[in-house]
Amino acid sequence: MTDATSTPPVAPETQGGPTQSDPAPRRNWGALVFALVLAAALAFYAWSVMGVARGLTDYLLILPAAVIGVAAALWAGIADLAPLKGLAQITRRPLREETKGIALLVLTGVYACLLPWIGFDVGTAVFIALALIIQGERSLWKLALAAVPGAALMTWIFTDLLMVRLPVLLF
Amino acid sequence: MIDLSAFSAALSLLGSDPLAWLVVIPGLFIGLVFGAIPGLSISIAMAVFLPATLYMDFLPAILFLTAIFTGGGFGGAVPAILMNIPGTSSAVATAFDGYPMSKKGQHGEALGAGLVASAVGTLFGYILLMFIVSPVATWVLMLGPTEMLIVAIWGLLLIAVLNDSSIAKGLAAGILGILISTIGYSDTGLMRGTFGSMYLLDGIPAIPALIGLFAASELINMAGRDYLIADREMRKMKLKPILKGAGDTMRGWPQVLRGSAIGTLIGIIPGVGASVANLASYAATKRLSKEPETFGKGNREGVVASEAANSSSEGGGMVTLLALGLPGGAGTAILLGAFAMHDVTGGPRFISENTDIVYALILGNIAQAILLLGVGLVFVFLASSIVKIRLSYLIPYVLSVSMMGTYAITGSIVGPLTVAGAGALGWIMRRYGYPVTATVVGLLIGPMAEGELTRSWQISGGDPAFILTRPITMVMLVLLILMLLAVLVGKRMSRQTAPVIAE
Repeated sequence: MTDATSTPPVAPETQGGPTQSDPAPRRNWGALVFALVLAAALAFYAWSVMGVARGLTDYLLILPAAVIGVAAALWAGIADLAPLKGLAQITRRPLREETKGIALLVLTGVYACLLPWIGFDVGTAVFIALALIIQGERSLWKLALAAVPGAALMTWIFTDLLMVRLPVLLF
Repeated sequence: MIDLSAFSAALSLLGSDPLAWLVVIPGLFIGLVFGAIPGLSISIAMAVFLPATLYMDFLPAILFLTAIFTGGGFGGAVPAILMNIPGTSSAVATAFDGYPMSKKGQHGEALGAGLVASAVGTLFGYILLMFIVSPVATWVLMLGPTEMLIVAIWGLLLIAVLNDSSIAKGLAAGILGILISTIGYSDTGLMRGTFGSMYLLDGIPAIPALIGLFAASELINMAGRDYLIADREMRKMKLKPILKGAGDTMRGWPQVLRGSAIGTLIGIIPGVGASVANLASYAATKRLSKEPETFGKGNREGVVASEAANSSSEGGGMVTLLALGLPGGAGTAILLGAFAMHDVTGGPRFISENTDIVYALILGNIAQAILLLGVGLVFVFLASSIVKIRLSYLIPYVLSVSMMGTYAITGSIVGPLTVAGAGALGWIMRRYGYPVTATVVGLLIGPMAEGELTRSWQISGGDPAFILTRPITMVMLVLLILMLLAVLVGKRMSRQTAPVIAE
């Protein structure tokens, strides 16, 4: 599946696996936290539906699915607690090395939230420029050239060619 | 089987109407473009161009729309292969192996294989349609809610079990998708999981969620890399690899025919369509392969299985449209709208009274499938230049187009917000080894599973013994259990016998 192919590149400093200075086996605590959050979210959703349900058919699928889902998530979380070994240990990228990705995630969320106010034209130009800065682009003219005409072209295609009524600030 | 006098009348109908041919190439190109833009879909393209058919005769109007349908069927594969973004929900499985092929510099082969599989699949679906359109009308009516429920469970379990993560993670991810799909107003008018937000009344939109889970999360994962394909030489686009992929696919014709048969059969079932067909075909091909471990890592057979099935399901969907007047999916629903615009109602009576038009439609679509090879080749050559763009520029551009496209789908900020939210969820899931594919399948299958489960419950009066009176359900259930057992035993055996690479 696609997940297998998206294995992050090996961090140079971890290529040798565990060293003398790092003898303790690494455990995947983050995976356990995610599994617990997932199980809690599934259980909470089922509980909220049960609270408003007027009959069995309102939760006929949701309740059994949530029970299986919670059990599966907890099982997966516990299984992930086993110490990472071999390839799993050396290919795993620590969270601190994901700063560019996390910054892009936050930027994408902020971009989506602000679109109704700043419009797709201005919002997209700013988003492209900031995304390029996060990824290391520092040349001002390259930033401007990529952001402004790019955003204008995309907005024009959607609003004028495809007749989509996008919220815009300038056009 | 075939009414020869109606068949010759169909040929003369097509021969006497030049417009029926003039609309085909523009229709194919429109479909390819809309299918290839993440966020836009075949149904959007068909809906946008539906009014343009108002002043056409019935035959060119339907052929124009089916050309968009055919083009879009392959168009969705282009971003799936090049960027891991299924342009449509029917190209989800195409990305599983198409994108890893691109990363290895085999994007030309993948696109060529997908194009040929798509064209052959369409051809197969319509040729089969010609033979089965009349008798199948009676068979489809025999499938009730319990059978459809088994089909839905089958689709989800296969993807949950057949992934490289653990079965527990596959199940948890799949169920997450199912539960997300139930958010919003239920069929019985109950608000679920909206937390008082009016934006969630219609639920989480599936296509933006799919784009977020697959594309946004993968794009963000790529931050920091230079190009999609690291090797500069491999980034060069040549005609030879495309032709090689096409030739290899032709030589592997049994896989193409198997995918096409699965796609056509699934396409015949109303409400299932190409989005399930590509996944079912992929899962079947992986299970039957001698090298199942190479799937998901760039196996051409995976691309072929998916593309042959999603394209052939178009022909299958036309069976129910023509024979019963029932749309199998969004695309055929728009075709039904075009039928209504021309005062035509599908169904057994339409087939018996207008057999020549039915055959003309089928023959026109067979010609479209052949033309797709040429039009698709030009399109693929132009589209594949994307691998030459630096990722630092590609990531914000694709995310922006996805945001605009999803706004176009939902008509509100819900689309872009869903992309951002699903992107974050997908990124975390990938980090901890949960298969996002299972979540996407759950999201697509969830509404169908809930509807069929409720109907089964109501029909049976809550008595599980009811399925004992449904022989087709029993057979499907036994097959599902046997197949699951085979997969689980196979997984356990391969784990025991395989060398412990991780050590």
